[in-house]
Amino acid sequence: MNFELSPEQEMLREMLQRFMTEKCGRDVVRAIVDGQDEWAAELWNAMQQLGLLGIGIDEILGGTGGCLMEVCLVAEALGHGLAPVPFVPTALVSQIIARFGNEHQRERLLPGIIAGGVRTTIAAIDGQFADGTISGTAPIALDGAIADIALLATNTHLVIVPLDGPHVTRTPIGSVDRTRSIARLSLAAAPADALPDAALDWWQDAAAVLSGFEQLGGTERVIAMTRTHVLERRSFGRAIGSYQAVKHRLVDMHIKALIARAHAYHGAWALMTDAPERRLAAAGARVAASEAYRFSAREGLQLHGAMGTSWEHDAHLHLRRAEMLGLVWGGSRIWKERVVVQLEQAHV
Amino acid sequence: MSEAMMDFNDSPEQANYRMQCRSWLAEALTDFDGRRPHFPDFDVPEVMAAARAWQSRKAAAGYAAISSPRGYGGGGGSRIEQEIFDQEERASPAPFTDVFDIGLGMALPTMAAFATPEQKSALLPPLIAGRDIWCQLFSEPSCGSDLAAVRTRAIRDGTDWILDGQKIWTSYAQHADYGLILTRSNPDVPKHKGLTCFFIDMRAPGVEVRPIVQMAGIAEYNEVFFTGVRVPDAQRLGEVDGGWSVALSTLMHERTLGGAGKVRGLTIADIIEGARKLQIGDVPALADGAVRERIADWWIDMEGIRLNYYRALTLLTRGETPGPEFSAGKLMSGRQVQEMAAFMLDLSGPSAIDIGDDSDSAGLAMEWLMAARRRLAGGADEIMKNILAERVLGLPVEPRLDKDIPFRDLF
Ligand SMILES: Cc1cc2nc3c(=O)[nH]c(=O)nc-3n(C[C@H](O)[C@H](O)[C@H](O)COP(=O)(O)OP(=O)(O)OC[C@H]3O[C@@H](n4cnc5c(N)ncnc54)[C@H](O)[C@@H]3O)c2cc1C
Repeated sequence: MNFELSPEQEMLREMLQRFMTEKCGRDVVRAIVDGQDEWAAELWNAMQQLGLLGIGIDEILGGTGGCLMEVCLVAEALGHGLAPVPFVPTALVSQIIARFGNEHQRERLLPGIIAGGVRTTIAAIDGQFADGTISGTAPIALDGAIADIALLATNTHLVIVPLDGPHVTRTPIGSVDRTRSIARLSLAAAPADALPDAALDWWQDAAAVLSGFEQLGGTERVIAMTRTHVLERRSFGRAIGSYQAVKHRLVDMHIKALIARAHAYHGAWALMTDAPERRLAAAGARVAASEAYRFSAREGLQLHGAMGTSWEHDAHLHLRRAEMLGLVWGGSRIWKERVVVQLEQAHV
Repeated sequence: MSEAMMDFNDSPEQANYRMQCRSWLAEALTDFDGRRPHFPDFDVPEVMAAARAWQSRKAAAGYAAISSPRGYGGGGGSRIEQEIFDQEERASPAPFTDVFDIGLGMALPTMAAFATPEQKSALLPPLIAGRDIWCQLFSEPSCGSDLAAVRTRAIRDGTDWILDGQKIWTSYAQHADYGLILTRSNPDVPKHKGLTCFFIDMRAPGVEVRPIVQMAGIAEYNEVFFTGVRVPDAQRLGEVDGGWSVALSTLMHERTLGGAGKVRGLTIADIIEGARKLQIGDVPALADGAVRERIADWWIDMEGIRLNYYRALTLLTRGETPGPEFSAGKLMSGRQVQEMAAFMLDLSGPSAIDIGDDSDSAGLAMEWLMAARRRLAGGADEIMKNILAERVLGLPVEPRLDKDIPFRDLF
């Protein structure tokens, strides 16, 4: 039995925490929220220099090595820091290409991604792929406003589409989460390159797990920030954190985080090992992490009092991020249905 | 992929040990007919006889108290081996041995830490071998959560102590040979500072046990009265007036890993099976969106508890001790089973009012009735939340208005 991080992974986690404290302070996030910058390019460059964009990709392919679990830990740290960078879509794409892409696709795309110059989005599209081109609309492409390449999933294909050509129109949307540049993509016979069918089956599970770690990081941040607040803020002559209603609310948040972490680890493990229960494990990670982050963001805001409702305070940034991440790959009701379908099959 | 990657498999040594347990269980269980009641009622002589026989069988083969030293009749193994055996035993039709749980889970580690070497050699082997049953005499009519407020008096008399008072909710006291008891030895100091712990002979003159029937109809717990019970000072555990730290160590053993993977009861598979058979209008309940959503929610929590238990096992494998955060499993599972059972009763409709022995709902109703106790025994839900808030999240402790007041002035 080994269901914990390895000592090396623990070290990576600590390193990432220090890195984020240093490179992704409040000013970085606020510059995006208040519209000065579109995204945190400097943070992205710093990540690239550390090799974080090649993590989880074999050295033979130009990556930094390590496994998917390490990619997940990066996602967790970025979620913790509300980082305005397109890591999860980019890592999803590089993982998919490294895993399923042919030699040509790997050579064309991986070096650029690892070097930081190529950013990607991944999204479901209402449209058709035929004769090497794709047409249709992807209403929500996460980090799509700043991406160079998209992986788009129709019902039947997962295809690679460069976003710089004349066949692509992108329209930034007014995202609930202002820290991320989300766009609508419209494609009219845009040249596209298909990936094997197995990738189509894999990507949603991988998206669920990677985002699950991002949600988990956000959840832990909210819990830590709320804990600090309730220890400092006083009412009726004592710290509000000494009131049982407040203590128990934080325990509820903590337990949801505990459950989400267990599912997220399980999901990562199932993806790495191609376990038969991969779909169930991924859906578990998605549902548990969405619930943990949304619940903690909502209740954490409540425990901050009126201050939590202000623009200045970060509580709403987490509330918004939690909502965006909870919606982006489909809402909980859909993923719960996936859970039950899997359970029905397991208990015939 | 890095070598230290997560996996759910046993190490080669663990796999070996598991196979050894499995084949031993298969062989040892050929003697037992495998018929078990839904819930064990140890007042039924056959149930008790099977428990004793099975416990002694395990002890003879070194599978009782696996992680305790051999010197006292234990197996001399590791905590992870204990867990592996427990998993295999739970998956087998072995007779229920819950009546020994308090002895093995609480009395044994407490005695191992606080009793003299002679006492350990005399008392632990029969406990491990299923000859002696132990109970925990902590809760009283006037206090359960606030355990440090116990009133049962212990007054020094030469080399003995005289005990007077009453305990309640004492599981299996009607069968017990020995008990761990928390008493008030000094009422002139604040409540935590005037407690003393003893082990006592449940057959000593002046000890009277009266079973209390539980809501589900089984008498699992009791009231125990003490009238001038003489206990030698040699049976004291820990310091005079130092009983609180002894009690805390007992409670710690009670709560570690509690609820994590250990509880019997309704499973998601049971719910799915039930929801396939039951109808809402003309369609199976399992096709109903609201039912499906509840199933998903319960699975998320139950599976989360199970996976967390694996995290705790990993720590054991590495020789570390899982912290209080793992008591979240006990906290979650009580409420969960209660909700699932109530939901299934509701789905069954009016027919579930019939819970007679031959009815369809008999088993479910039993789960539902028995579930309430899980949320109280071993620490009420609210107290477990206080513990998590204070020990894991580091939030302020509850106000303790009585902390500095001599116990006798509190009332
Ligand atoms: C089946 C069963 C078996 C048991 N076996 C044993 C046994 O073998 N030995 C033994 O010693 N005891 C045993 N108990 C007793 C058990 O330990 C107590 O029931 C438990 O500790 C709660 O104490 P209480 O019943 O006195 O409830 P109380 O302490 O009176 O609590 C009542 C309610 O108030 C809440 N409450 C109390 N204090 C606080 C607080 N500070 N903050 C918030 N809420 C609070 C509780 O959570 C609970 O909901 C058993 C109980 C059951 C149900």
